[in-house]
Amino acid sequence: MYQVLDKNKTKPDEIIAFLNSINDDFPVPLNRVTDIIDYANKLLKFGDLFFIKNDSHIIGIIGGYNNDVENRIGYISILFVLSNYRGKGIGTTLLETFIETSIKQGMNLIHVNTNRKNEEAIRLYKGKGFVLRESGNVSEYTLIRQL
Amino acid sequence: MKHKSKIVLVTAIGSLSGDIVIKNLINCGYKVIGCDTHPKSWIADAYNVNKFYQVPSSYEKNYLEVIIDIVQKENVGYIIPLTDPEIDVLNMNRTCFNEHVCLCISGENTIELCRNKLKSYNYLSSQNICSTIITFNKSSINFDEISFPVIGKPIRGRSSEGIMIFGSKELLYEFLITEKADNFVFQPFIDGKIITVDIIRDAEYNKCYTIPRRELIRTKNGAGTSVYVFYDKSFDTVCVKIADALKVDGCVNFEFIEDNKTGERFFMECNPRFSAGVKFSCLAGYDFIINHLNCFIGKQIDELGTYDNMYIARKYEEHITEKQNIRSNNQL
Repeated sequence: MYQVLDKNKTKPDEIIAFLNSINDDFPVPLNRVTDIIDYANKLLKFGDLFFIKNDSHIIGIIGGYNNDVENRIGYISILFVLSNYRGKGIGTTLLETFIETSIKQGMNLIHVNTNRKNEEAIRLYKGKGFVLRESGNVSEYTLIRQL
Repeated sequence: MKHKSKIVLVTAIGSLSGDIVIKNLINCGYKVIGCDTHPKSWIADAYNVNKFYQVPSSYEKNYLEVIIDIVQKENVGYIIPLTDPEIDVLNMNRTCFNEHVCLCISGENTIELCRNKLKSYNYLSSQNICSTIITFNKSSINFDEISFPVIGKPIRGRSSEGIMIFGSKELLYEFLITEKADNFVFQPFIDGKIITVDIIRDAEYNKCYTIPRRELIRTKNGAGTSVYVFYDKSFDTVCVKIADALKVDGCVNFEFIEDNKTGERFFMECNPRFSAGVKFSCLAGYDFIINHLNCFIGKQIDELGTYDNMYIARKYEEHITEKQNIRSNNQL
């Protein structure tokens, strides 16, 4: 059983290094979309971030925001598990942790955008009650879950 | 520990965008600390912020130190700089703030790319996503490839300052032998109309919206005073591609020149800050100010709804900021 850790158990450099290491595993590399350092700092400052380690190395991460208190809408910005560790329930554990946090923080709804070809992720979200919606973007779906 | 301060430091509040930035932040419940290089009584908006500080110019050595002092003293959570030179300084000194405050500007590399006209040109022309104006520096200038008149611009300019026009090879040669030319780029002069685009991009939510306007009357500093706001889907697509390529975060503005002869729109520059006329776009129906802030705190930005094409004209308003009763003092 893996233990879920929150952002207080890490340092920005560790998150930045992890994001850099998985950069090319995204359909569009993360560093082509945004500045990874700024992205990590923003998540750490304003978001909720959880991760799972094995032998002191991060193997899975989930991050997003539950700070839209006016609209009570949470957002998952990133969910990633290293390929060697997939199929072991790590993504599910991380997702459940994030959903619980969203509920605790008073969110009524949570959403995530994912690449249309990322069937594994879509299956994971659907398995946790997310419903597929057209995002208006040709390469992405939005998945929504009422809380 | 989550970041909770709702205190925003807005710099250079005497800038044309200062008024709408302050208004919208205050309307949204933010406490606004304003600063400017000029004294309080010279700046009308100094009376509309919760607290005002006169600060040194960003070209002065102690600028950063003073800003850091204000940030600490006022428990500032966010900094929104309104001028390019300040953005240059803050961009180079991000680590002074990372732990304490959110610097609401695009990433370090994006700022550098936007603020250096030669780098912007080289990068965007290699991306093949928009028409660019061939740009040379002193050492790369090719007289066979450039037609006269030629326009010379400071490589890291601001507000159309320092722009020169060279009508002949001789005049340009004369300038090129000066040291000043080291910091200039050179482009063929295009006779055309300026189009400014306010654009907001949030990479995390994959959202990007644009509102363009044709600048009908402009000040010498390049600020539109009468504009025509319009919608153009294909132009929107081009602007979004540029914003993606530059990895813009938050609200910035692009300037294009529309060739009077051909109608082709050439990308001129990206200013990584609010445009002087961002209020025009706010009036058209999109709050670029609050949504800019939202981009930096993880809140989803509003959708841009449909808006009408419209003419908007700006007028200036006078305010007495301080009265000095000299006559009665003399009588005493």
